[in-house]
Amino acid sequence: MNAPLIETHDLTRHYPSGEGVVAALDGVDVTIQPGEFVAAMGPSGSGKSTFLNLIGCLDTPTRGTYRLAGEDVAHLSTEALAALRGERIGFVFQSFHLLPRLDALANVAMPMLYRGVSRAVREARAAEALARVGLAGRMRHRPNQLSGGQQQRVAIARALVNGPELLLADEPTGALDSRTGIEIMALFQALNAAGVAVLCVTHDASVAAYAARTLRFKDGKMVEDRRHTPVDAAALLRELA
Amino acid sequence: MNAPHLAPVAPPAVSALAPLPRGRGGLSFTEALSAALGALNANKLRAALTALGIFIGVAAVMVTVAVGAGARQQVLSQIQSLGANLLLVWGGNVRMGGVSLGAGQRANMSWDDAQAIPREIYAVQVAAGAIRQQQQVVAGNQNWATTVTATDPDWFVAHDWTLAEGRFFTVEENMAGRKVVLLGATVAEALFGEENPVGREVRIGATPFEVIGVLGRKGQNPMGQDQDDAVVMPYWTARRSVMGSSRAFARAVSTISVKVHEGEDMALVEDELRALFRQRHRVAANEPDTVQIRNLSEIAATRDASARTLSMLLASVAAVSLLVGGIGVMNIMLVSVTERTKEIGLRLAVGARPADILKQFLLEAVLLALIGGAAGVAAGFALAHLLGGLAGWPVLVQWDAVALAVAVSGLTGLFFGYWPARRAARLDPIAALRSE
Repeated sequence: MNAPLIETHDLTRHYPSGEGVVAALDGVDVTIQPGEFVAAMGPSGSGKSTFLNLIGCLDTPTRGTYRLAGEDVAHLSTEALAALRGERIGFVFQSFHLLPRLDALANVAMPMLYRGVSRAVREARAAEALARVGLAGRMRHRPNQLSGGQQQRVAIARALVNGPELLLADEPTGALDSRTGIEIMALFQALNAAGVAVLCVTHDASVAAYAARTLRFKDGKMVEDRRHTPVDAAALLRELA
Repeated sequence: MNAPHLAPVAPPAVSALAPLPRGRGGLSFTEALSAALGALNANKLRAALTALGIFIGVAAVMVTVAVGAGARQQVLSQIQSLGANLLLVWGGNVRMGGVSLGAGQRANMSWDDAQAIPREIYAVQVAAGAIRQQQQVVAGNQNWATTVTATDPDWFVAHDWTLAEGRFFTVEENMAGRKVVLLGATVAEALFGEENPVGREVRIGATPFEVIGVLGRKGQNPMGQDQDDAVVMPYWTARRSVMGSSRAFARAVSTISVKVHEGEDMALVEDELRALFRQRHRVAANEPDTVQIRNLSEIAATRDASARTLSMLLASVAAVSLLVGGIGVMNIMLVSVTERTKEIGLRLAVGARPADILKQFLLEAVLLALIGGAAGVAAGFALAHLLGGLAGWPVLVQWDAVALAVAVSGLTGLFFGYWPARRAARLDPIAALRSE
């Protein structure tokens, strides 16, 4: 069975606002295959964040259907959605969202707490995930002992640790300088090359350029779905060096 | 801020981790516990101050329960020492030429009245008539003023006396007027010290008596009198040798101790006794009773009830402080949930179920309350003994009360922690992640 990873039909999200309702997302039909690198672009209020929240099972649509790996998730309970997030999706946020009390290893291991995994397995997998983002030597550092780029790498390791099929990144380079931003995008490209689908939300066309496909949002509607040749972030870094 | 120590990320080195098996269970209890401990540890002072509320409540409960239980046990043992199911009949109003002489002024009951009671009233186990007199008891060069009770062997049964040494006297010894006595523990000590008085001789007045037994120790009665300061001898011995009385009252007794069979209605027996004495003393219908009847265990039970009321009152004050402590826990948990909204949003985003979040925060509240409760038990225990030692109160720490105090503090945490925890579990992950 080769089901698409993401398949939405008429995906719509209304929010009550004063007297009427606001259509934050309005009738989006999109299909994303496993292993794609997709950027969702648009200005603020365009509906791209609402789209990300729905795709990430953090929110449920007002109307329409959403299949994740063939499974209809539009009307699942909050408990079932939480389980689905833990199993299939990894989140990366603009402001990292690391827990300041915990060191890098514990931050990365945290999602596995909710999967009933033994401590030994948790630590081994977290160490492996940190090694894969190039932070093998920083496991016992707390977030405030790490640079912004390193913190975002810890967050990416945390997103990877449950072995998801889909990484959702919300402005992942927004809080970083441009060089570090490119490094992070290179990491996403490398992970994508290893088979993980990436959906990256951004307002920045230069960030969207690292994806192979761009969905452009405006006023809650998807106005463009374009495939293009991605910029190679690793090659760009070598040029800069 | 190019970080030169960042390893270059070469594509071959990066690969996704193998997915974890799907459908595994949620947050385990031990993990939730260690997360809760970590959260408390991050705010030690705040946790300690919150636990203090529970601590004070539990310590107060511990002290009041321990002191209250000690006081009650003292009262109960006094009731036991009086003799269970005991009615005491006193000679009552004697009128001489229209002037009432008051209760117990004249011995108007006789030995035969006492003998008649068990025969006439089925519910009565034994009845023993007695007379009392203050006497100087002498042994060698020691002497001691005490109350001599002259009675029937059944008196020992009626008052639940036990023996420390020797034996009681018999019906035959009573009838024959044998010169034998039993000493109360206080008298035995005063006259003989550590020695065993059985077989030794004491003199009361000019008459020598053989000590045949020492009574078991009873301690104070509820009126504060030493029940062991007593000497007991056969009634007829006393009549002939010590308390010789005028011919008119030669068979008189001043009190009759009536022991009622277990389970019988004491009030009913009281009525029957009254009726019996009216009949035996030929009291006219319009005349008052000739005797008075007292139920001693009833007097003591009243004292017990008031002691119980007092300790209930103290316990309810302590319960209020526990309630206040619980509200403190709820307050701090609400603050904690608000502070950690972002963390909760993150945990929800990475796959924590609302039930997992609930478990984590509830456990934190219970842990907080249990820590306060356990410390409160320890402090209450110490304080109860300290107070008991200083004030000379009997203190009784009941382990079921300790278990109850710990359980109640845990339940307080559960009860007052539920609402904040539910609030945390119901947070919208999107809004929670966006909060500052």
